[in-house]
Amino acid sequence: MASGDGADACALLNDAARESVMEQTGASCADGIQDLDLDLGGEVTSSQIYSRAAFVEVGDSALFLTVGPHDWVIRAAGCVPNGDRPFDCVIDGS
Amino acid sequence: MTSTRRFVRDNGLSLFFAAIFLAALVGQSFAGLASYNETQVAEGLRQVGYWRFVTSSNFAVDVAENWQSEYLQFFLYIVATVWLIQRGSPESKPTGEEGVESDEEQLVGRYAEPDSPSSAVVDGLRRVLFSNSLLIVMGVIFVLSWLAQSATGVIAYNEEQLTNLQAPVTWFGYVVSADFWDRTLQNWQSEFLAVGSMAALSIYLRQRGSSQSKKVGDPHEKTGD
Repeated sequence: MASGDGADACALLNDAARESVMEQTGASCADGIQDLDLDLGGEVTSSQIYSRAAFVEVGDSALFLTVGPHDWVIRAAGCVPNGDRPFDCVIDGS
Repeated sequence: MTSTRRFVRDNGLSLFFAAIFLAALVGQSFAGLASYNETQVAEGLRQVGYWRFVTSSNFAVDVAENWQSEYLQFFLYIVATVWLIQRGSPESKPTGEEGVESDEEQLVGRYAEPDSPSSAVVDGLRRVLFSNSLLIVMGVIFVLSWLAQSATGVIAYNEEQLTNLQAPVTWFGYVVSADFWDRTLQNWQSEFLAVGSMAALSIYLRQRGSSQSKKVGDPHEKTGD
């Protein structure tokens, strides 16, 4: 995304996350994802894997991943804590 | 009688329970797989195959949480029956025999008989360990399976947390969590109820032919074997 390639970024998302981008932006995932307020340029500060789910902290936000057909895919991105409630995510494929 | 038939006859009790244990464990693996995959589908996630499930923390925690409570049940029952009496129960020693009893009553050391195990005859640490081997083994298996429950439980719990877009917890956070103690205590309550029921019901009820029951004609007041 830093290089402006929305299609590559969308390839990392699972189906539900891609739909979330399209619903929010009214555009295709590759175009819409560029318009979202998503900053993934920070350093990976932690990554944890629990069976078929993973949690990665990047900069000031977090990613939730799940096992996809071939590799890990992102379910939710740009997530910040929300007290005891689920994280508040820019892209939410849950 | 062939040696195989003799082996089966002499070890029938163990073989029967080993067989139904394995059958139930296999059954649990299929039921657990179906349940896990139902949740995966509901969350829009990929389903898993049988071998991936039976090697997962989700299956392991469901097995370990039940094992730890069974071994704790035996551990507590064995130690309680040393010191506590239940008048009328065949599960109890007769009144007045509380405690670890004398060497003469326990056939150890110089009171051992010709066919006593050698560990009952010798003095020192070996006899002490053998004299407490049942508690030691039950206790070790309980501790190991409870640790296994906590280790696999935190992974299974955190997978669920992440599915719900919630933060994962550390092992330390998990062992004081509601999920861990809910699983632990729901197992403990049923185990303690079971042994307590057996000790109490066997005062007044009989099962002809069972080693776990008083003889049908024994008085209710008769305690112990």
